[in-house]
Amino acid sequence: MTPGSSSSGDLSGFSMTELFRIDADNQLTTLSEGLLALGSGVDASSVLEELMRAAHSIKGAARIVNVDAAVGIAHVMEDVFVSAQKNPGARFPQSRIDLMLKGTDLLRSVIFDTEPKPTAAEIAEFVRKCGLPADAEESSAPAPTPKPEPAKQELAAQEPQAAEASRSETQTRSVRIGSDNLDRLVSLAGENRITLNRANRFNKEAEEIATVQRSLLISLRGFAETFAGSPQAAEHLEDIRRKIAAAEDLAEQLRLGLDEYSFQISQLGNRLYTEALSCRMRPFADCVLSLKRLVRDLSRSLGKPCRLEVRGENTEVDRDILERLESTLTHLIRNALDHGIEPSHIRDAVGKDPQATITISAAHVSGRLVIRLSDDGRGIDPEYIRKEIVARGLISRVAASTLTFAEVMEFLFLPGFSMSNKVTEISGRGVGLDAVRSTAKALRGTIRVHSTLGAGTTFELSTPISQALARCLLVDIAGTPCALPLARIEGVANIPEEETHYTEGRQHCDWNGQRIGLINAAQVLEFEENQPLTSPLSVVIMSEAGKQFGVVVANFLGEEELLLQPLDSELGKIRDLAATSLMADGSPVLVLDDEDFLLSIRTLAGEGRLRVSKTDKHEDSDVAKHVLVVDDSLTVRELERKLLTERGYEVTTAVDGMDGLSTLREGKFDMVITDVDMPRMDGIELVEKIRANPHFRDLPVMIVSYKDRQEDRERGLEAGADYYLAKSSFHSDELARMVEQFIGPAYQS
Amino acid sequence: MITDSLLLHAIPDGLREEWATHFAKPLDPPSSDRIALVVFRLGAEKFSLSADRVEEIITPGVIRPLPHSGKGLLRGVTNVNGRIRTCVSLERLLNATPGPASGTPRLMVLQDQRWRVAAIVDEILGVQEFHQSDLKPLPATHTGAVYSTGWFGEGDHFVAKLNEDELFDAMRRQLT
Repeated sequence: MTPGSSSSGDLSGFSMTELFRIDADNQLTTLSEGLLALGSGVDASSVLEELMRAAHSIKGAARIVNVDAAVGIAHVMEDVFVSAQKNPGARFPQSRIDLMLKGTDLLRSVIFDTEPKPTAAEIAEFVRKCGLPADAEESSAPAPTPKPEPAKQELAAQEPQAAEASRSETQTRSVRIGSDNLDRLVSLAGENRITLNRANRFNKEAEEIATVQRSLLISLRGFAETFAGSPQAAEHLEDIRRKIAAAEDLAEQLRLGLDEYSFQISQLGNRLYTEALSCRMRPFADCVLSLKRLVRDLSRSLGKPCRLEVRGENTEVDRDILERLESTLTHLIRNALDHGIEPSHIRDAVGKDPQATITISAAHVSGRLVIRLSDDGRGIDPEYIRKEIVARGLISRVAASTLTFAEVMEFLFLPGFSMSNKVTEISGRGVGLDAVRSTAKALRGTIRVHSTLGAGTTFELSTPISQALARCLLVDIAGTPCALPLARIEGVANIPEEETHYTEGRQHCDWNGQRIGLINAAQVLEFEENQPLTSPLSVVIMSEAGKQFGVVVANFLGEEELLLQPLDSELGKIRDLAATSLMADGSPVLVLDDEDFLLSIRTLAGEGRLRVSKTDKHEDSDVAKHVLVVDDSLTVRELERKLLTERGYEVTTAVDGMDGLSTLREGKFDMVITDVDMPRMDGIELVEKIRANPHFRDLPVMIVSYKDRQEDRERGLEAGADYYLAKSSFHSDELARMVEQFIGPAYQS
Repeated sequence: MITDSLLLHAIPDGLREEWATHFAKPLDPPSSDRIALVVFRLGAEKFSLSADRVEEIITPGVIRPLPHSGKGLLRGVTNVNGRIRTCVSLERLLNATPGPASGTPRLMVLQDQRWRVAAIVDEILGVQEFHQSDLKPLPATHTGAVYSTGWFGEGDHFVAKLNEDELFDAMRRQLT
């Protein structure tokens, strides 16, 4: 086992460096949290102790693995904390907190080897600054102070209680687990649940045994009543009866036992599965730390005092979306601080608290994860946006005036739409809310914005609670089970084939008063249809941007909540396929990508290549293929006729070459079968005459003759026959088979 | 009593030195020449793969074909212990000659670092140990896009040894 692969999940597989990093990560988190708490006025002594110990741990561990730069940084930080502890009266200034936070950044870069790597000069400068007394730092930094001090202190007093409370809540023990291990665990739990739920069938079998025993007893009684035999016979009968009764009791016991057991194990299986799935969930608090830091740093650099309030830190969030959630919230916070929140003197002038508040909340509402981010800034002016939209030529003034507030807000999410006139470092490049919207979409969710001018703005992101689970409609497409996510499905219908119509070869029908086009799902996925469809047609109505499509499938299989498994990354993205999953019987099911699917449909429709969905009634031609049989022998003619009509072909006979030629000219034939030796015109001449006629140049002609010598064959083929079949080697199958090879089955399907 | 005589038995002189010398002798170096191979049959041909590249061998289940996959290397996807794995047609990749329908087909799950890929084989002939030095060269006609590096066995038992890295590379290339 290679170090760090940790396939067994225990730490013994890690190298010393990896262990050090895991440990340092925890300590650095403690440092960041502690420093931010200090900044909001929490009781300093307990926090300083924690901070000191964290720095000390990092120092010691770094020494063991010889990361000297980290040793140096941690050492000076430890000194700063120790000296602060020695002066319990003095405040720990904000600038000092900034410096220590910078220290944690440096440590992170050094320990995790991330870009940009701190230079020796940078580290030396940091060490120097740590050596300076706190007061010197304070006077040199241009720290902006909010004006009404009393209000701030009151708020500060409220803050620590909230901070303390939330820290103790989130202090549940947590363990590290490799993501591979977790995936395996979830898969096995899923497989286990499927297998255990199938135990039910044994119950049925046990029940059947009991039933058979009972009917045996009844039969035996009947037999005993009608049969008058010897006393020994009666004894034997009684013996048999007793034994069957005993067997019935056993069977009944087995049934009861199995009933209870299978109930228990399927309960256990379901619970194990639910637990394993919930391991995928992390508390929302996991992404909050960096946001707190961001608000602090930004508010200080912009000179806009602002604090962050978080509600619902314990709300469970699928670990797969934590990263994207964090980056989305980061983006929104930057926007809020840059555009939304007014400078404190303006806030004061309109009677607002000079310190702004950004509130983030996370909660589960009606089966969805709802994350809200609000600021109490200046809000968004819809009229300003309306003017902007018109100014940029996106919509006419008349149309713009009819837009509702919500519709106006939608424009904010367009790419390149930015509210600020100048490009600031923070935001305003116009790489904006469209990114937020596409993240929301990627998470199968939505984003909305509400705003009140003067009071503030709220963004609301709503996603499914679990990214891994999806409610789907299961359908059979050409024998393969597929799943369609419910989100884009308007409905399902059984449409009798007679009620479908055609326009320019395209099939459509009526549904709920709408005319919808029909598309064959097997064609979209390029699956071969091995079974013909049956009437009524099973149709799934899907919609996109107001347009509806009727997707014809072979059958409906039901609705299920599926645990999605992503595709093998080596396969790349497969068109129309989003993921795979397992059905209740353990076999794989294909989860279709509804966007791709609808795109494929539109493409096929645009190219006019849509196949129609028909059941296996004979359609275009109820007329079978027509074969002309030419032979002077009645027996042979009738034999050949019989062989072909059995296969559904239409057969007309002629008695010699001349008769054959005139019949051919008068009728419509798909193939000619002819003998060679015939009066008036022989087969060779017939073939030559047929080939001479341009109308019949491509008509398949087969010679069937008793003459089997090489020269006969050559003569026949040279005359223009497509095949020469010798009657002596002539098996009944072969004639029909050769005909089918040339012109296909009797009815073109 | 046996215990009396055994436990009270006096230690003869030099016994300790004798045993110390014995254990002090350096061990024979382990035979690094031996490799464990999984031997299996595809059609009429026998192949072998390093056992550490085979994760497990199970009874084949349902294999679902994927959309737009045609008749290439990709056979479809199948369920292995609750995880859905890609299933390839190894016989197509190796151009194996079709053979008898006897034997029990198995699903072989191969591993290459973190990738898992499954293939159905017609029969598993067991895990056998071979000496690397016993690997015999293949004939001169065996050149071009081939995956076997040599063969083992004698008489009727002809087993080709596959180059696992080239096999996985080829699969990766042909699957995307």
